[in-house]
Amino acid sequence: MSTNSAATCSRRTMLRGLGVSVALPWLESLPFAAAANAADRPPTRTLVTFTGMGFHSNHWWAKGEGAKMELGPCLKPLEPWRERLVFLRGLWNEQANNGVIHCMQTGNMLSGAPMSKTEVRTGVSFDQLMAQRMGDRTRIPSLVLGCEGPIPGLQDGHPLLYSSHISWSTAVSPTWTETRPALAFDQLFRTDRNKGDRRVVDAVLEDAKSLRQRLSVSDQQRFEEYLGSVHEIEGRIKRAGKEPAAGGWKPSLTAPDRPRPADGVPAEIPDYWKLMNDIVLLAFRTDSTRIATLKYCNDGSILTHGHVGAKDQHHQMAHTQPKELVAVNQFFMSQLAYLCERMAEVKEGDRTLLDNTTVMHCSSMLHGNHDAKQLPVILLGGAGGKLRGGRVLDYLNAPNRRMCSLFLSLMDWGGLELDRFGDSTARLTGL
Amino acid sequence: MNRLPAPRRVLSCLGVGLVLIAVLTAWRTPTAVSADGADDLTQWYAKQIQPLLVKTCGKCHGKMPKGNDLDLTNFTTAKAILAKPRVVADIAERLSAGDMPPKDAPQPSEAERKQLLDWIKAALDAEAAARAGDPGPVTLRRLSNAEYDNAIRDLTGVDMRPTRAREFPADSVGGEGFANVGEAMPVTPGLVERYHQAARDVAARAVLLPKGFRFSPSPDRPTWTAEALESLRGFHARHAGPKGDPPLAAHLSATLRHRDKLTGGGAAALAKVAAEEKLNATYLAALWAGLNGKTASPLLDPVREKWRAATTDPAPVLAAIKATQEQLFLDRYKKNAVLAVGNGFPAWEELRRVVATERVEGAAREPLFRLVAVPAQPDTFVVWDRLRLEGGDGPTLVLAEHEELRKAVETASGLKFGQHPKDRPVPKSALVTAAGAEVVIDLRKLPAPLQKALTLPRFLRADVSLDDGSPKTASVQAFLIAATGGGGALAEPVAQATPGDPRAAQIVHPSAAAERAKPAAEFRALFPPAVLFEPIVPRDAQGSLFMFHREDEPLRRLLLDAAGRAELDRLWSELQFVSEQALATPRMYDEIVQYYRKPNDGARVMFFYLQQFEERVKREEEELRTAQVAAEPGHLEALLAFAARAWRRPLTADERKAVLGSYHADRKDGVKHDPAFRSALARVLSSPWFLYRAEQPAPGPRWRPVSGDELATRLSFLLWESVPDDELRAKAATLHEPAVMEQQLRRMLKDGRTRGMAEEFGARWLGVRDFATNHGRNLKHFPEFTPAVRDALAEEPVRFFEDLLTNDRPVADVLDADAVVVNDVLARHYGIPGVKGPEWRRVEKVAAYGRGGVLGFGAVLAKQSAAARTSPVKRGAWVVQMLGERLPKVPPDVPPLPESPPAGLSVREITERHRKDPNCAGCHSRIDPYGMALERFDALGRLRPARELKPGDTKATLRDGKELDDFAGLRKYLAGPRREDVLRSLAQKLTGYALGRSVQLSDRKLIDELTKSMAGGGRWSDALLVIVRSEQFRCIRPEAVASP
Repeated sequence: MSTNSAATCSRRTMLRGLGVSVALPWLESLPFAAAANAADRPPTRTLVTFTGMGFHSNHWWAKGEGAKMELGPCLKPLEPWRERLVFLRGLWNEQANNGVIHCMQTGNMLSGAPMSKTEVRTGVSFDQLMAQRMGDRTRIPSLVLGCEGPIPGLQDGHPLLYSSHISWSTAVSPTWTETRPALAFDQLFRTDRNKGDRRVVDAVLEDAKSLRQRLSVSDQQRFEEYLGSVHEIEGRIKRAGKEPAAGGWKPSLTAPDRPRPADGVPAEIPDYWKLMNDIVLLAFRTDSTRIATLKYCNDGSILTHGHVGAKDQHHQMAHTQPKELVAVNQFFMSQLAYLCERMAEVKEGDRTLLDNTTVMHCSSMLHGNHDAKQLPVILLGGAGGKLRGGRVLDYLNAPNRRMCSLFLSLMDWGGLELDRFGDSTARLTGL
Repeated sequence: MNRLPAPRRVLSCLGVGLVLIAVLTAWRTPTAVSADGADDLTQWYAKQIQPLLVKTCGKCHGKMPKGNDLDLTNFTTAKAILAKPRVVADIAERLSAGDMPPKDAPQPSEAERKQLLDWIKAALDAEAAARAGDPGPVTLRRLSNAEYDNAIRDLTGVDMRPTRAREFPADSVGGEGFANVGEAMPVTPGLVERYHQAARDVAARAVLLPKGFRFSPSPDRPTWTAEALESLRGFHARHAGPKGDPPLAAHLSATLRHRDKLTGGGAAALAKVAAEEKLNATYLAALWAGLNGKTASPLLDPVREKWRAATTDPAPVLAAIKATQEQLFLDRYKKNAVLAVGNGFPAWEELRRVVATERVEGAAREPLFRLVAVPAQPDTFVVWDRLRLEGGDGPTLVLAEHEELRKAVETASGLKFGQHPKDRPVPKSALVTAAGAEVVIDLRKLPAPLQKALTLPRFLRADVSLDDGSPKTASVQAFLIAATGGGGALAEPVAQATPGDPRAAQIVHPSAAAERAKPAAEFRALFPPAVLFEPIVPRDAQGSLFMFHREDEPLRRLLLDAAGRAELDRLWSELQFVSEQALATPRMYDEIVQYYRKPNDGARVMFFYLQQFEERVKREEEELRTAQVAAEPGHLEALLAFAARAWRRPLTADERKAVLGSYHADRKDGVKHDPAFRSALARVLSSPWFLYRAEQPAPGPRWRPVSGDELATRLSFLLWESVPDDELRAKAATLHEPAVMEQQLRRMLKDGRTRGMAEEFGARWLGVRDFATNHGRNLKHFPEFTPAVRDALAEEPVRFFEDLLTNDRPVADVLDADAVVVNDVLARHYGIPGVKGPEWRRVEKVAAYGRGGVLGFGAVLAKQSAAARTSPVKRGAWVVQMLGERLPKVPPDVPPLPESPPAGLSVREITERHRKDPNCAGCHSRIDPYGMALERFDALGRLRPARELKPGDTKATLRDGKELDDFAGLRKYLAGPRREDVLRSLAQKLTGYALGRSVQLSDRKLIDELTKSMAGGGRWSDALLVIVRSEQFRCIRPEAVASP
């Protein structure tokens, strides 16, 4: 993406330039911003959470400040955490207003990139950019989870892939979004890679080299996606078992404090979502990764939240806005309250895990009528001491109200300072 | 709106939206374009069209597009703008629909509008003709999930569905809405990791065989062993009854019923009768020969006599046979006896054996032996040669060879070694007794050191025969009784001397033995009660030394020809190879022997009994290890052949080496053959050569035919969604020849693998591929929507298309077949009577039930419904799509219809109310009528009872004023006046599916031809032949062609 020049400096792009036969050691030669001396302090974690189709149009609001802050009914579960909460009004992704509803508003949620209407192509999302630039510090670069699988098919010719993926590893590849708790757990703690895996990967790369020579130039470019993926697997195998660099700071857990979840998916939505929250917490506590994305449900979600009395599918409710929609929205927010509660319990030096985390919750539209002209966004946590809660910030009439401007700040706090990202070259004022 | 003539006709009737291809293909009136027509068009564009375009559109679609990303002023030449036919078609669509320029912008004059449209039409026509046959840009494709699973199934013979087991990301669709389009196939590290895991999963299921390998659904060796056993038992069951009994009655009956034919008919008559009666020719011939034997045979003769006397009923013959069998055989199927089989005893023991010399034995637990030979006969002497202690601890101890013991035995028995009572010559190592005598040898009083030399318990054995001077008619049974009790039948085969014991051999005069043994031998050879040991695994294998017991000599001899014997041997060798039992037996042997090796215990007798098998156990282990090593090169060869199938082409010499590279590296590192082989197999399936459908672009400037292997791959993925089979691969080199292609296509269509196309083309075309998981039904509202109903609804379209394809029915059957493919569950759901049983079948004359063709699919009707009610809007939109028309974007802020209609209102009424809004009416007057005509079907696709419908609920008026009533009316309409539109849309979809891309301008001719074939009653083979013979399907673009 020409507008996303920061993203183009990814390792994958470099590989592309260097050709197939060069296997780069994972990011060894790239310097990071803010990496120096960071080992003594607990790192700042970044968590993005997402629910589709906005919130009840009358009940998503906040006003006031600090302990006196008032929250609309949708946000009620976050009342105990209002002093850690920043309510952002009026942000938008300009590109999300150029296409078909749902999928075109979701696929670029975290990149702000234009979306192709003829093929699957948008931009690298900021969480994955962070993972690509900084992910080698931990066992896995990032954890990308979902509690609802993708819905296949086309919406007016556009793949619904866009609707179910907010994290994108490359412009054409949505990041694998793990929906199975057990497999997510395995991502964090599996170490049974062996020499056989190495040999297979080496052989596969050899095959790829000869296959690539037979392809047309355009297919060779397409094939880079595969090569990059194999190289990442290669890197993972090399990194497997490698402990994070020694430093003054040690994670609060060195091994999982719970057994591997059962295979499959819990039958009840509340159990399922809680379990996925727990896996994110476990990832942060064990420092398996510092970047996580948790998509609770898709845009256009077909889940029915019977556990709070909803009768229809979430998608249908977003349109009709029955009063049960508020209960559904509150259920979403109660997930964040749970995360805050658990993170606040974890001591990391003189701070807590919550102090050292930035949580951003967002949705693809303000409410169910496909309005992406402003998006519902809240921040929670302390961002390593850089974010003050208990505030309402209104950008609706500000000259810069771009989501990508917010992402620049989130990346700053996480340790990746860039001049530009997506359609933004400036950070939000007053954040 | 009716401002324009000819081209507008089509355009306007579609209203605002129109699928590109309708534009691209609907204008079939050829415009006279002269030989230099291209030049005319170019100049026309430069002189008139371009300025007109700038004037009409340039204000918004200019250098700095306002609120859009389209600059229409930038196309300075016809060539430039025609490089983007979609843009051109879009201009025509918006212009003719009148929604561009926007109402509030200056409008072009009627003449200007016409001129723009005329040029576009002529230019697109010319472009379509000029580029007809262009294979188009087909983006590099990896295997979709369906293709991956099918390929693994066809390569391994096991339907493992790794993409489900490993939870691959769901397929997404592109192009014309199918999952085989490169652009819609993202690749991520997560996916690549799954590819590698799945490859390892498959490799873990490879079962190495003495020759090559096969696959199993399971990664566990015990399961593989069970499979090998099952194959062997299956073979057994084809030849013998449940107790291993031969099919004697049936064959005997045939010899009686066909006696005349067989008499003098020779081998030919036997073969003919066997074939007619579906009998075993080998066995029939053996029986016939035996029953007609001319040489006297005392035990067979009574059977032959009964047979000759019998009419067609074999019962008396069978009775005679059975009576003799009982005299001559003992089976060990009783309690504990099967345990004995696992420890080396035969399952069927021969009784009343007649021998010249018998090795007589007893279990000696204390030094008190008795030699008994009965009955008493005059002048008959028994020679007990090499009386010895064997087995247990220590070497064989021949008593005559041990100085002190020899003397002790002689003293105790009163006999002398090497001395005959009548001074006839005997071996020095033998004692001789008179028949009828019982000699007691009590050595219990021996001095302790000598007692020690006996190291009991052991076997006491002797080789017993009659003295040559005995009468020729003499016969004795000999017993060595060495135990004083205990031990049981197993431990002490003969614990006491019982005159007439059928298990003790009749020892006869050496010169008479052969003759006297013959009658029983002849009978046993022809009439064994069993021809094999049916259980294979002795009943209590846990306590047995040998897990498998093979006893099938009669089977081989009486029932099998050379091929059958080879097959039986192969099955056994596979069982032994796969189970690796011979590697486990030594451990079992050690354990059992240790267990029984207890001092002075009766059970210890088992120790020296089992000890007899030590050598066999070692030998079999050694043989298996040798067989394993010998099989290795064959495994590697088979792996290379597997790789060629998986990669869908022959391997180069370098690739053969590379495929085995990891194997040899592993072996060098000391990895064993089995895991190294599996890694290499996983490597073949992890390779991009398997995962990608790579095709080499054409050299030179024009498109060229793909290679034969590539074409074979295209064909098999089209019809089967899977890799080519061996026959197709063998024909790949000549597949570009139309006759070969046709022959292969027709062959492949008949194959069950066309299910792949039924799923990925048929069900996806209808939008119900994912119905089972994404049906949108409200389960609380519809308790009758059970998983069985859901699955049956999801399965119906697939079965329907399978039926169309494999029976090569007319393509247009999708519209007007008066038939449905159902099982019992679905028939009940649809109210079709008389369908019983879960199997799927075609049922005709179903119009009365609202079925026949795709319009009656419950899955479609249900999917295009709201969660708890019908939705004429959704169903109507689906029909619009089937017609190949496109609907405009849903405008923002459209209020939805309520999920449940307010009291007293029908779905039709709320839908109509909604349509009263003039903002909605434009589109919905186009969409909703089709859906209204389907109102007779409820939200689960069932016919509604009449009381649920208000009068007129199923009536509809199309926008052009045409009246439709009910689904029958709609079907008639679609199959009548709109037949060609539906089929054209289908032709477009089929083209897109076959080519793995969106259709483009240059496909117009192909789609025309396809539509013509379909509309003319063409069958699926006709349509598919049009496609597979087309340049698009057979060719590939060159390396660098400008993509339009």
